[in-house]
Formats: sequence, structure tokens, C-alpha cells
Amino acid sequence: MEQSVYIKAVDTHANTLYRIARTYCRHHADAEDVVQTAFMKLYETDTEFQDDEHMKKWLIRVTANEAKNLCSSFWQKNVVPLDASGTDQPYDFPCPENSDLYDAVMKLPNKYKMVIHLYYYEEYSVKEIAEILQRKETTIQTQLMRARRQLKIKLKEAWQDEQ
Amino acid sequence: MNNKQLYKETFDAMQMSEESIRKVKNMSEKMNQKRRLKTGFRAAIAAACLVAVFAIGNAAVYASTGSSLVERVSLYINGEKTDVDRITREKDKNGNDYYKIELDGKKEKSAGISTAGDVLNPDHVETPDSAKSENIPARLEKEGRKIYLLMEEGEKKIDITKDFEDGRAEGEFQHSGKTCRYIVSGTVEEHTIDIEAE
Repeated sequence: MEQSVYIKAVDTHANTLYRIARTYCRHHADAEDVVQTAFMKLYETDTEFQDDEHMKKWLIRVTANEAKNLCSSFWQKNVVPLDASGTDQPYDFPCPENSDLYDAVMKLPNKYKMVIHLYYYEEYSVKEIAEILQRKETTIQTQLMRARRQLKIKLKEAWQDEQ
Repeated sequence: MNNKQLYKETFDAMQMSEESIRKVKNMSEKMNQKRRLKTGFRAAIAAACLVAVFAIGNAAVYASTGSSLVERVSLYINGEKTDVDRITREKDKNGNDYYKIELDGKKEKSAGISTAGDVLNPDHVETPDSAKSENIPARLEKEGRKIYLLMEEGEKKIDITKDFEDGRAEGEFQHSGKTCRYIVSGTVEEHTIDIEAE
């Protein structure tokens, strides 16, 4: 891959991938490692991307897989860092609803987090999410519905009912 | 505010640090360096493998045949062992083929073997194989103004004075019931004697 294309891809997609990795990984440093690995794979891949959107979907899939591999390992599940700052970093949210939503999403099972994020933040349709995550549309629909239900239970009035 | 807006507002706060983004950008240069190193390393390994295969092959050939794939050719010239660097096939003025042998990397120090099998020593003085095979030692001798070709240790003496005036004398003589032909060329001091049995 050409250097200029790579740099442009990092500028465009780094934060998107970081957010996806962060929903999976408890630690900020792990999420950054996942993003680095995804970009390394992008640099080394021979895949010919049709457009920027194609590249973005490819990167999301790689990031999701890398995050799953890293954060589902025995080590990650069973080791608690001594340094408290190494765990979940709080963000400066503008209002309490944001903070509540953040906590509620982070407490969702991993398989729901990704679907919720791709749907609400990246605004992908169920069909597109199914393509990216290589799952059935019906599976995505079910996961989305269950995730919404869990968010509604936790957030109550702050989360609106959807179909 | 609907769910999407709330979600976006919440997760907009999640940003990768500038330093991490810079690190990711610089990774490509590091990967390029690694790739170059890897390529060089692979080439070195491939070369080492080829050398190893050749060495093993050579050892196997040596074990089975008693001679290696690469041999150093040496010639004994005037009793002195001399390594041959290169052998080339060339043509002389008369269109005859001969082999030019370069010795010890010096062109000027060369010897040749004619296609007829005659050996030329470094001074280009021919010692005919045929003469050797017939055991006819031959030399030139000057007595006054006369030039003789002496063979069989002086037993046979041929006057070639007139014939040799133009620097070349040819003729025939009998030896052990065979007709032999001699060709003498050059000068009395530096000459070539070629004797062939017909």
C-alpha cells in the first residue's frame, strides 16, 4: 500500500476503529494495540479496495476480530492491572445521560456492544452490519433488539423505545 | 434528543490520542525498514542455501566418484606445477585451431595445445607429440654456413640449409620402415620442429 493512502486512512479511520476496539476492550492501551494491529494489516494487505467505504468496512471487520482475539484471551479475562489508571478511563461527558449510556453500553455483553455501536454511531443498516460482521441478518436483528431492551432497563426514560 | 443523537454525543468523547495516531502513522516506515531487512535476510539465506546445496552435492559427488564437481586443472611446464585459469579455443594465422591456456591469471605466461595434440611450451617452442611417440629426438645444428636437422641423436642428419633460407623447411625421411615428414620453421635460434609419421 502506498504511504500517502495509508496516512490518509489513518487520519480518516483511526478514531472510528478506536471506538470499536474500546467497546470491546476494558483498557485504553489494549484498544490502541488493536487499532495498531488493524492498520498494520491494512498496510500489508493485497486487498484492492473499491472505495473508502469498502476500506472502512474491511478495517472494522479486522478491528472487531482483533479485539475479540485480544480481549477474550484468558490473560485479559483474569488479570486485573495494579494501576487503576490502566483500567477504564472516564471521559468528560457533557451531561449525566451520556455517562449513564456509556456505562450501560460497556456493561452489555460483547456480542451486543459491536452491533449497537455500528447501528447507532456508524449508522449502518442491519444488512450492512450483517455483512461486516459476517453474521445472519436475523442474528443481528435479534442482538439489536436484546441490546436495546437491556439499555432500556438500565437507562429507563433516557433511552427511547424503538421498534 | 433521540437515541442516535445521544449515543453519538456520548461516544464522540472517545478519541484516540494524537501521539497514538502519530505512532500508527510512523509504523509504515518501520514496517518498510523491516521489510527491506527481511528481503535482504531472505536473499542471504537463499544464497547460503545454494552454497550449502552445492557443497553437499560436491561432497556427495566426491564420495561417490572420488573427484569433485569443481577441479583445479594444473599443468607441469618444465617440471613446474602451474595452475590453469582459463582455456580458450582460438585459430592461428593458417586457420588451424589451437587451445590457449592462461596460467596463473597472466596472459603473457601462456601455453597452448594444438588440436593435433602437440604441446607448446611457454616459449612457444613446439615439442611434437608425434616425434615423442616415435621417439625421434630432433634438433637443429649449425656447422659453418650449413644448417642440419639432426635426429635419432645425430644418427640421421639432413641438410636443410637451402630449404630453410625462407624460414621453413619441409621434407621426408625413413624411420623404422615408416615414412616420416618433418617441418622446421623459424630461425636457427628460435624454431619449431614438427615431425609426423605418415
